[in-house]
Amino acid sequence: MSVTFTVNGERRTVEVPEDTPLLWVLRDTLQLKGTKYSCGVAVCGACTVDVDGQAVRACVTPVSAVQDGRVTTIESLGGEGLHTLQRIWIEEEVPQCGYCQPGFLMQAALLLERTPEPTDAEIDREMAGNLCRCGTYSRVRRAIHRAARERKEAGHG
Amino acid sequence: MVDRTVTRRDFLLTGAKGGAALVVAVHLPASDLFAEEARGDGFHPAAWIRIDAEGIVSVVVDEAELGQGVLTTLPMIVAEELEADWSKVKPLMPPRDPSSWVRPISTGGSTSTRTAWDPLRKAGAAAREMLREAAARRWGVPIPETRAEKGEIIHAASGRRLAFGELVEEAARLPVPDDPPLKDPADYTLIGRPKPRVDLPEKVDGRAAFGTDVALDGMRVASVEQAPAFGARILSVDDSGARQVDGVLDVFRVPQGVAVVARDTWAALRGREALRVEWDTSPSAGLSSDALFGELEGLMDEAGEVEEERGDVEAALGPDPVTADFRLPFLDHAPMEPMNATAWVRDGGVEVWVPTQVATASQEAAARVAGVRPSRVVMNVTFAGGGFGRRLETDDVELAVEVAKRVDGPVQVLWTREDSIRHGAYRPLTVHRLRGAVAGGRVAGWHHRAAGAGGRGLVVPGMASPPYRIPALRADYHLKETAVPVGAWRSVSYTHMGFVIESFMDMLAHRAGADPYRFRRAHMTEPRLRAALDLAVEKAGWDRGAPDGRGLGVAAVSSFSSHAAEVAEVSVEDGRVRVHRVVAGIHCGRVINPDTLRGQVEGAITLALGYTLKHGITVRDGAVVQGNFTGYPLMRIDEMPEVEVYTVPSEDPPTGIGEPPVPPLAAAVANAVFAATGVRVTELPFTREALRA
Repeated sequence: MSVTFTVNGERRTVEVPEDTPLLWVLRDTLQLKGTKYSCGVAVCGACTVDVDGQAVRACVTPVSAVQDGRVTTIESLGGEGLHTLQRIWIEEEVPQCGYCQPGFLMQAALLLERTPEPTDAEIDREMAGNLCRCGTYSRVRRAIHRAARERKEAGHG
Repeated sequence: MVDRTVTRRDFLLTGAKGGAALVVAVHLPASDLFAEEARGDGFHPAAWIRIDAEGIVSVVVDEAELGQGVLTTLPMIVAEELEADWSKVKPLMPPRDPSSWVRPISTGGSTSTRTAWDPLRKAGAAAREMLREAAARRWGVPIPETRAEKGEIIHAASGRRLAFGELVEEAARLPVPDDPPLKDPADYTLIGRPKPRVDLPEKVDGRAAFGTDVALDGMRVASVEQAPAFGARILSVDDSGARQVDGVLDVFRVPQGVAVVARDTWAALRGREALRVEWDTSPSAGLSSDALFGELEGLMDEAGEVEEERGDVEAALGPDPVTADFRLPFLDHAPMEPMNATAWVRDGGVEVWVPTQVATASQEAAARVAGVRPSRVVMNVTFAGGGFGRRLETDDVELAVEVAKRVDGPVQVLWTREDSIRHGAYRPLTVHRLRGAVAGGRVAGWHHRAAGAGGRGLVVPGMASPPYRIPALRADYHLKETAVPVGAWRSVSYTHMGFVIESFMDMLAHRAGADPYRFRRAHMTEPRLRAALDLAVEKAGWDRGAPDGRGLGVAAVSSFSSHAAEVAEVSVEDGRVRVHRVVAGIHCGRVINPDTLRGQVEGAITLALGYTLKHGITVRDGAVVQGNFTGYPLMRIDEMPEVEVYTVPSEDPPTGIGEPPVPPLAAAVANAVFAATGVRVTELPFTREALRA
């Protein structure tokens, strides 16, 4: 079937079987490889993307569900430059292998949109579905707090 | 982006833009990952520095970047001695023909920094001296009047300076000094100060290409149905449904199973779902974790191969020794990037793209499967989405080349999460019986018998040498090879030895009525481990004790030439353990890049918390029961303790950090659980039943 949606600000139409998960449309059809496959059953968060302002696990979301929607992936999280989180992610040296990090960043960015100054408990609740085998969790938490602080100081909060 | 395209020829002949370049090769010892088994073939030239006319300093890093920061750490060592401008230092991947490289390219055993320290410093220093001499000649001044600083040679008396790039042509004609002077560490400006990891910019915006991200014109994707039980054989294949799936291009048998080749990933996965394969699983009938535990525990009454024996152990143990039996399951590495490899068989050769820890072994494996010489295999090593030892195996490449032999064009073989967990290279299941006695507040006798479902190198190391002065000690073991594939899991045998030995030492401390920290300390033979232990307990506030309702536990293990002690603070509620805080004291010699090092320790502790509290692999009917993170749960952010990492200040040569912080953790937590509840946990992962006992 034909599905039309906006990806990273660009309107795209794809011809794929309707049950095709958004993940494989992004990765294989649109060649946006930043969104990762890891579990395939929405229990690890590596494939997290922003669909109309919601964090969505692309591996279990049929592409037909995003008809006319707006999808943002890690490739355009920061628009033209880097999102505050991405800059701080580098400075706090959050990633190790880096494979799960696009999912963490997408989830964290949506957390800050809704909850500009999250508590530890709010970070835990929002990020508990993102798995990292390298064990970067304490840095994820620190980086989110720091981004919240800097955005507030910069008047984005 | 990290440049991944160097060839040995380019490297030797020219700079990046052509023209002159100064190239320095030095000597690196062969990888000593399995030094116990494979000692011996000396030194090979392997560290290459190239400085081109633009002043760009390229350092070949012949180690895999797994997230441990090696692409940054090793060039830092070179840049320090070279007095390079750090902004002009770039890591280069090793050649795409690993057989042309002078040592096997293999990353494991926490050896990268340890083995690179001397040769890379020497290489940097040699290049610096050559540049100084070239400048001195040009200026007609004595060499001692020159110095190197931030990518330039400076003649202070006249105020003249020349950039490295302006000197490479002349420097390249000079002999490489054999024994260049090394810097006084007091003058270090890079080593020991945090440098941002060079691989991070592309890891936060989706550009970093892992194995799964390989995209080639005309690339097919294959999903392979592998044996549902170890050693199972195909009885029949019905591929009619699979072939009807839109996008499926071919279905065929390979030695590992049945491959479904498709236009894209989703078609391959759907095709595989529609595949019907009947298997004969009788070869592994009756193979199960339970049966193995039973069989190995049955061996606990029989003397095994002696690994170490000193003193009269039976006499020392006396009539009433402390005894404990331990059991630990198989473990899967479960890196977040599932197993995968891409291969293209053409023109009498193979090209491979793979996230591997072992480029050389992968090249040889691909050559073997394709029936070509290794030099006919081009290796493209991508970033790896975690390794932890799983990517020391070459089954990913072997499967991809088997499939690629039947495909016209490149094909990516992508393993699902379930494939990855069910076809692993597991940390062997082991059981242990310990007996020990104390007399006069000292350990008088110690007997450790182990039995494991794997080879000696994966089961035994660490057993013979608890880090304590013990007059009478015996360590013996039984090994049982099974059809369950086993491999090296971050810190290998120390994953179980650390837990068992440090839990038992705690039991002996309690029998002696002694403080577990002071009891350990009084017996400890390795001063660096003692320093790590002292640091951890001091920072943890050991003598203040735990807050009400919590317990503190400590453990200390030397492994892979480094020394790690950890203090855990836990509480237990309704059989559930909550780890609130872990404080690590580490002695790993001089620290190169401190923030990266802390990250490695944090990660090792997280990984170890996973196998302590949450997951194990269970084999039943010859197959792995778990298939995804639901059955094999990893630590989550909301379960994480506060983790604090301290290093013992040291001027010793650096030793590794990838593995050594793993082994103490499980015992520190178990010992803390005992302190909190009086329950001694002897089985991993902890179960609620055990904690309610």
